[in-house]
Amino acid sequence: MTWSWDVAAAFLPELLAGLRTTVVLTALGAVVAFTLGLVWVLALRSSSRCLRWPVAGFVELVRNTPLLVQLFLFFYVLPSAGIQFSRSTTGVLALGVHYSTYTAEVYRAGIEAVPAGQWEAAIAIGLSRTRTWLGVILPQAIRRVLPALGNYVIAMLKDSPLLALIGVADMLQHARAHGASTFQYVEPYTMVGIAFIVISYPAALLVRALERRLVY
Amino acid sequence: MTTGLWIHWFLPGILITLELTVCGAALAAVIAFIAGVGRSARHPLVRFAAGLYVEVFRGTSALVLMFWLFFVVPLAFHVQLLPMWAAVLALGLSYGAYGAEVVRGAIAAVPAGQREAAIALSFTPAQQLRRVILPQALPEMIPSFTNLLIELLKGTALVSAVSVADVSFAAQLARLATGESLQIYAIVLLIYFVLAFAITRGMRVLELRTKASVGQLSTMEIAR
Amino acid sequence: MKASCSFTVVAIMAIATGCYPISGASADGGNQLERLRAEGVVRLGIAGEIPFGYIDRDGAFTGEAPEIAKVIFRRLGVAKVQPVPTEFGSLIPGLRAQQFDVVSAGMYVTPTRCAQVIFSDPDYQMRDAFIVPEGNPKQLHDYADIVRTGARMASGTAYAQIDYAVAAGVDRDSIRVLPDQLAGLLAVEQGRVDVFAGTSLTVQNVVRQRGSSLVEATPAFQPMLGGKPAIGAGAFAFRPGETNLRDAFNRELHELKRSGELLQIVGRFGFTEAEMTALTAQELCRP
Repeated sequence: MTWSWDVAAAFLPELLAGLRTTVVLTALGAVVAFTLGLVWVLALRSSSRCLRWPVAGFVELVRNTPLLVQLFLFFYVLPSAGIQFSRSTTGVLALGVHYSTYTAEVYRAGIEAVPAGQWEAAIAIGLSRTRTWLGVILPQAIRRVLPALGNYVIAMLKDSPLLALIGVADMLQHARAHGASTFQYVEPYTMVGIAFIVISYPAALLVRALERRLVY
Repeated sequence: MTTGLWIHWFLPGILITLELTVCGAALAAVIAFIAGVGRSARHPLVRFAAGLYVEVFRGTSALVLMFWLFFVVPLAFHVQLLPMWAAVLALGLSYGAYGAEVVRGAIAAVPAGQREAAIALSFTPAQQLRRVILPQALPEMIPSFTNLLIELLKGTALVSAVSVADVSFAAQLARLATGESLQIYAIVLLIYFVLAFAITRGMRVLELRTKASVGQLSTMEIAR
Repeated sequence: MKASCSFTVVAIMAIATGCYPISGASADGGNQLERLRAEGVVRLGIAGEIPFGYIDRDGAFTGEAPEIAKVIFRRLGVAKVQPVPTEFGSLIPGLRAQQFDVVSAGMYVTPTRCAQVIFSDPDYQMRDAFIVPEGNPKQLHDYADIVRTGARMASGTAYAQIDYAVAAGVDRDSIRVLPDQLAGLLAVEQGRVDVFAGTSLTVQNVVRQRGSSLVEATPAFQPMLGGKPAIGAGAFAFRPGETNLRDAFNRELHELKRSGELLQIVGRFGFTEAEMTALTAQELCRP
């Protein structure tokens, strides 16, 4: 196997720069996914069909189609509609919207797992709907599903290289650019691959530890 | 979108997407069973090896793996993989790792009494697995496998980044040829949605069949 | 037990047919031409760049380089051509990784690229141009203007224009790298960048295709490299070691030039007498 430590060392600064971008964009995407997911699940529980059906249709469509295609749709089509985001913002939005359809499911499972008694007690002591949701239901629901949400953050991390395909300067894009200008592909791509494993594995262990503490 | 683009690029692209999904799923299933059974094995070395594979490939990004197989393997190992093969390998390895966890969980969910009864009846470990454990574990695996299969279908879109001519790749070409991004990507999303819908339906049929074969159908399912 | 044996055999055979060793550079000049004649089809790598090599609105494979390649390979005894569209930056690695047989995307011959692949003699030469907002507000006419105004520049992955800009003083890290010329036009249209640099025909064609009133193409200009004009001459690339194929290709190419048929073939893509060249790859590969 041909490997040059010099090339690897030369690529390291770019790798670290890309790593920072990867982590930041994943975190932002997670924020979008968590927030939007909550919006979807509340809309899906509303009594109005005009709200439920379009949202359900949208969520199903987004969840069953590739993130890649959605990303390109955002990137190439949004600007024609007059919405001009930077590539990073477009990427974060695409990532966040796609994964919000998963987090909505997760939230739904969590909310449904909250014992009916909690709802009844809240009504009995006269809490408003908002207070019931914010003070009683959501804290219990979210606590239950934090591990599942954590797993989706890791999934988002591993899907973040897709943003390189619209030119966002993450780890993969640095490797591609380095390869395109120096024709050295082995070291950069291998380092990027290993970097992902090195980040994901501890994150997965963390989520599993979280699961052990919170769910039982 | 012109007829020419449909005939030369989109329809063949849909076939390639289907081919990738089927072959990728087959490879992933084989790997998942081997690794899942391996993770449940008694021999610690087997468990470790299977565990290592699962942790490493659950941690890799499928897109990075694909780039690696396409660009690094030829340069570093002087061996060239046919593009379809490399794509199927990347998909199978990535999703097989998730499948292994599903298999492991389903095997663990089979009541302990079943395994004990099989031992009592002098079944060899292979026979235990094939005749008693797996048939009962199978219905348990199918809902998770359905989700993984949909994920795999969506994952096939990544091959367009390494120039395999699937339907996402056809969309890129059409964009460069016509400049009409919205129409093209909307059609492609619809194509994937229809494929995902078909897969979900098909897997549901499979689930009912496997449940029936081990007598696990609920009364509601029988009634339907 | 018999079942698992045959399964293993099938699996090994499958793996064996799925991968094959890459031949290193051979001293005898390679036998790719014989292999292509035997297979009857040659795979041409293109980058979706109008007019050099692209898939058109009707899904047909065409462009300046593919059309020349079709004629030449027919004369060399290979009847069919098959397009392998990819990204420009993936053309050279794809060629070396045997994903296709020839790069026929009008790729400029540069010393860096010559170290990775071998080129035929160029079939055209061209100058650069910019995509700029309508009216060219910053009055950008060449790379020196970009340096002077500090304009935000974009170009394509692995485009030679990036090197020309850097030679003129533009900071390499400030150049936005976009996947293709259409993305570049859109970036200028949306104001994300002030200028996209490409070959003059690439720029003219994408601006015409888009038909947007928000952008325009600047007139063609000659980029400089090391104080001398950087001749952008495009040619076909082959794997290192396949000199027999490259030489046979060159013989047919020179015949096309001599008979004037070359200009006839590429005329409809916007190429004129001004783009014809008598340069050789050897001259252009010299640093």
